[in-house]
Amino acid sequence: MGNQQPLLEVKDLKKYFPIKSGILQRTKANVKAIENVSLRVYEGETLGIVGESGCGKSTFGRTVLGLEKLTNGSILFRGENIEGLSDRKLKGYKKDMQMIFQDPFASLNPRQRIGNALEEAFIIHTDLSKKDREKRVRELLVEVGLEEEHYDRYPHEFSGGQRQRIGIARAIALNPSLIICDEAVSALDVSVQARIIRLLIELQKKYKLTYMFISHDLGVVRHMCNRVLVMYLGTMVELGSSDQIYKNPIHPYTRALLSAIPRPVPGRKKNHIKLEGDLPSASNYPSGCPFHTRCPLAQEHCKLKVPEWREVEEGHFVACHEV
Amino acid sequence: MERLLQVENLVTQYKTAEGMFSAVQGISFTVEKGETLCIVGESGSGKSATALSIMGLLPANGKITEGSIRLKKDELVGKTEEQLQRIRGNEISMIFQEPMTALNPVFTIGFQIREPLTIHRKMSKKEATLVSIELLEKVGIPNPKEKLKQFPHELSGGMRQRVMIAIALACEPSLLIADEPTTALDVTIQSQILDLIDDLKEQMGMGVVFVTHDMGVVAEIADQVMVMYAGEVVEMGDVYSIFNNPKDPYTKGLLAAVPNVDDDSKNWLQGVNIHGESTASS
Repeated sequence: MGNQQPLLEVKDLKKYFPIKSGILQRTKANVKAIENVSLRVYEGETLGIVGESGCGKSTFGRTVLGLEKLTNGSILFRGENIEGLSDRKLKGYKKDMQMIFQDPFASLNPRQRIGNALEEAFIIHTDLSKKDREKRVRELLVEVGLEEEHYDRYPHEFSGGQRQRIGIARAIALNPSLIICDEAVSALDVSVQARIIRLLIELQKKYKLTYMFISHDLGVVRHMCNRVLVMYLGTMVELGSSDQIYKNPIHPYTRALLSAIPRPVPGRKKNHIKLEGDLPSASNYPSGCPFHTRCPLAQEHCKLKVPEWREVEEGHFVACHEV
Repeated sequence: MERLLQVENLVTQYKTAEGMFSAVQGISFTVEKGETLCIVGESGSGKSATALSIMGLLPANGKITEGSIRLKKDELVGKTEEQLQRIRGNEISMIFQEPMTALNPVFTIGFQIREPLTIHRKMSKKEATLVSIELLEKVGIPNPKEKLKQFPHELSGGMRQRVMIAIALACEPSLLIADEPTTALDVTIQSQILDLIDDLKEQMGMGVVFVTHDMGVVAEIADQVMVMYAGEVVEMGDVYSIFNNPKDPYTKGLLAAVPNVDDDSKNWLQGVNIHGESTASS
């Protein structure tokens, strides 16, 4: 995929949330949610973003979509910088990028029928007649594995899996090219989860979608994604193809993360790489390499210098002094 | 081994607008001393209702309508609230999924750990404080003395869960019930907590009833496994026979649906064949 034009390019993205205090509400410190993330997403691929809670993976997704204002850096969609575009132009891009949330129930109005909720996208972004809109919505429902009759139902009448299907219908309504799935299957039971993923893969093939799949579940990510980015405390730790990350993890954090996942194989317990302690707070950001406080390989210089982002083999990047 | 818990033909019903609904439909199982029984199943399978029944903590609309729950030789079904209070937190303890909601936000950690000790063991505040420090050390909390003065919101999720475990273990219960204790935690923290529960079980010789939906966690911690579906036990056996030689089609489906990180093949999804999505309970 080397010389292909990326669909989305993120350069040196930073996102800080200010901590304000005092009567004047001056900014006293910053929560560094994202610290220098640069990334390219290519057409038709599924890029997984994994990490523990608080690693900035969701903030990253939201910032790319424009739901959060970025502090520094740039986001290029099809080669054009989205930052500073006029609202009208931005609307065109928003149509092209959609998001599927963890809990679609929270984003549905409990008093609004599903049909009307799905129709809204068409009202805002197209000039279809009322009849055409209803027809499109009914088609969409069938497309995601629901039934046409569900048009008149309310959100509470659906199960978790069905609600997630509604979330997917909403996301694909306007034929976007990029869909950001933020923990889209995390709240579902395993059997339902597998079926929703199957639906996502079918839709990807049919409409040539590009997915950014944000998840803490490394098992699902392995089976779903072409490339995987591992994040820790807002920084990029390791990036590579699924095979590179899972078969040949290089960064000590990636290794620990992979070894901590409980495998459905009895009798293999107690050979984890143990990480001591908790994730440090992003408002009290560690100096040097952000992982040095928990890293089993940490040396003196890790506390002082931020590790470089370097390529260890083709397409496999890592940020660590020691490996 | 010694028989610790014996549940026979347990039926738990909830009163709903449409009449009585049986969440647990006549299940039987036993837990030996020093053994971990994992109850697995998807949401709505009745695994939490089973745990709450043993604990005597069913909500006001829930009731055990049939069967018996015996702890050692003691029958728990039909005991009064007062009698149960003497057992809860003393003989049987429970850890919940969300430690933030289980801890009281307006009391210090120290107060909440001392509470079971002063109530059940009739300790003075001073004695209880000393034991509390020991307990916090045991569950791997650094600087236990300072932690006693802190409030739950000052601790991270993993630390809160350790505090919950410390409280649960305060009176050295013979049975620990853990309802999805690591579901809300990150994997690196989850593996710390699972190891902790396993080590403590070994040290103290407790029996553990561990409720979870994660087959990976089951493989890691269980001795015995009980698979539940729609309020009934579909399969029960030791952990090796459940994983290596599952008999019931539902167990097979459940195992196939778990994505294995070590698995190379891209056809994990093809293996999944549990049909029909459950609709919202109506």
